[in-house]
Amino acid sequence: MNRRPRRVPVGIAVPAALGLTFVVLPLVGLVADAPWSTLGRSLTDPGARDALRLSLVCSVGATVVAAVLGLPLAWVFARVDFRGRSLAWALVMVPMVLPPVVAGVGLLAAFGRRGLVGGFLADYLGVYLTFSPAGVVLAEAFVALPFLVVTVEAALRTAGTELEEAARTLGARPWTVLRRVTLPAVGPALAAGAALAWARALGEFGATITFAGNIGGRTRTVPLAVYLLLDRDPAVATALSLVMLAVSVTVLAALRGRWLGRPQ
Amino acid sequence: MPRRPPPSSAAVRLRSRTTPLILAVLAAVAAGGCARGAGSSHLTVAIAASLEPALTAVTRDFERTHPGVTITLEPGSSSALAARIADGAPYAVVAGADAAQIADLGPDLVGPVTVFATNRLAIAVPSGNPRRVRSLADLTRLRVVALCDPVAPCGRYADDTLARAGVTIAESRVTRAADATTTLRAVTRGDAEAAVVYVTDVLSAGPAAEAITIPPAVNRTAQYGIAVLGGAEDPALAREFVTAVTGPRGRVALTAAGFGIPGP
Repeated sequence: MNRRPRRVPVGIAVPAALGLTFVVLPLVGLVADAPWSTLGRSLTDPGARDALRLSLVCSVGATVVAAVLGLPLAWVFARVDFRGRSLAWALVMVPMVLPPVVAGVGLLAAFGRRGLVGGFLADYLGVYLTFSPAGVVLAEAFVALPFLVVTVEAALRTAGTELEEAARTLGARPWTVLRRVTLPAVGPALAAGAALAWARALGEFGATITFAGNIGGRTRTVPLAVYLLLDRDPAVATALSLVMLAVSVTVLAALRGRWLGRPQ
Repeated sequence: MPRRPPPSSAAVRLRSRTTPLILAVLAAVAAGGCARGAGSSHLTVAIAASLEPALTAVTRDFERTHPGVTITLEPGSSSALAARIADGAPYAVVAGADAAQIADLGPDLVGPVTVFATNRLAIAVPSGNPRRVRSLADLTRLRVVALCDPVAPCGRYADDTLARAGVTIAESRVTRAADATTTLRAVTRGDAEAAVVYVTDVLSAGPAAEAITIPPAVNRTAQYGIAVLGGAEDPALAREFVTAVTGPRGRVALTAAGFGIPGP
């Protein structure tokens, strides 16, 4: 019943092979182009080290922000029926498809000095988000949030509903159900969503350079450094690209192996 | 030829009839986009970002006096353009902010590099000059200053000018952008409090920014060079365009935009 065809039609095999080659070739190019002999020196270059440290700190920060805001959002979308739910859901998903530069312009219009709330933050609280590491976190969290919400919401729709029902029947309060039943049930999905959000935050470029600028050691994350160093110091740029490639592959491997299950 | 049995639903019938039509339309559009009719030709001109406003006017005039000719201006940082040309980008003409850098393209050039315009640096501040910037020394007390990346000519000139003035701005307060236009955008659109860019950039930004003069003793003069490239499909037409830029019409547009014209 579930047998796969042994013979693949040529009309499918050829374009499929082409598709695989198309995706793999640039990755092979990155590896082939890498200055392996000077890799260690390139990655310990002060500019590269600053960028790696900043990227790590900011992407983890963005993932935390995405989890803190995204988990309740996902719960509401999965469990609560309210007017305008599909509109709200679509709005939360917008950063996923929005060109990141446009996201950056939007963030400026909201949180910039002359933005909707940015002026208030700067004048009354002395908080400047633009051109600061906090701005990088904000930009990365903005683009990463939908990935977390989508993943966790899908899990909430399927996992734990019967157990929750049972817990409620046994007299558990809603908060207890949430804490003791729902959260443990969606734990793996939360981890998968966080990994996806983290990977997206790590690779974020357009919103970051538009909103937070490009200040060495403060807002110049790895993707910005790769872009800028391509002219000035190609060896460092390629070395940093390799790190990004390795991280992406690792995240995907972890997601497939541990959380999403292997394809049958 | 036997007729095929009629499809079971209207939707299938519609699809089977319209698919070839759609493909034909797409093919026609694609062919029209690639192949240009007889007697028409096309030039792609790589230009320093700072030249865009002035050369847009020259280009429009050139297209009007040369029916069938279309010109695409590709603005960018002069160093990025040079790298793209070395990688084989099919530009017919290059006009950059550093004539010496264009001369370095050597084998890619057809004919000499003509120095056709000069430019000076200025401090750009948001209109109204809210931080009361009067001189380069004032830049050290600002939160964020935008400069071009040191790979781009405007970045090299700016670093040089600051050094000559004996002004050191901490790198943690400097956001770097790829070219002059993007650098100024950090002031007009973003939150940077000042930028060091070309006089002409500030003029073309209109009321969004104002220029603070940098004394000639420390200021650098950028020498803009233009040349025909080996990639030009129609070298005669490319030379004609260069003549238009270096000739009277070009000089009027460049002067109006704030450029200097080098002596004969």
